[in-house]
Amino acid sequence: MTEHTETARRSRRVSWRTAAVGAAVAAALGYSWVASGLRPFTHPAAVAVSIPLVATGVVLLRSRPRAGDATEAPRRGWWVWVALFAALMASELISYRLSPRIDHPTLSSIADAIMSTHPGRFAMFAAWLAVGYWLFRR
Amino acid sequence: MSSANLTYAVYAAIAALWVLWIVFTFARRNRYVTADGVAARLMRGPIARWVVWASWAFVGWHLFVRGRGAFE
Repeated sequence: MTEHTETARRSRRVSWRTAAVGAAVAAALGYSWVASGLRPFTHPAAVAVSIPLVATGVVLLRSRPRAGDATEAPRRGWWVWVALFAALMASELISYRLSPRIDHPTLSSIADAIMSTHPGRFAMFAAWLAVGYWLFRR
Repeated sequence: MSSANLTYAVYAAIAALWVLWIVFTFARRNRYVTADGVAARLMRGPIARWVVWASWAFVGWHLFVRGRGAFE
């Protein structure tokens, strides 16, 4: 096999992969647009959210946790991650316990304000899907 | 400063610290645990991965199905 043929085959493989990734991203964005247009408290909205939940649940059931190379992974900075998460949860809980909500907004009420328009709701849904992909692709 | 502005400022400060720490750890990923490293570590635990899934499911259900005021 010549070097030229191998290079052409490799570039075809790359362009197929690029097309597949592009199609998947376009499908996810289209799904987000449709799902974010559905009214809360309705069955269609429940189904639109359940589909990714079931899909990721199946992925988790079928995959086994990987042992990984924990010994080689850096360990510094864990406490900062824990502290940042704790700070976020603490401020959320403090706001949640206080009222009125307009004076003590929670993350949910801030998200509600962002999601009062279809583009805002679409952005939130797409971000939620992207986080799910990031978490469960491994 | 009103209570609402103070709360927004606290959230903004925490968000800024998150972003700074994500960027910092990514820039020094050979020494510090990155966001990806945290997620990978969580997804290796047989129980932790389901806790992560349940948390993600809760956020999606709460925001897009239950909608405004579900927990007010």
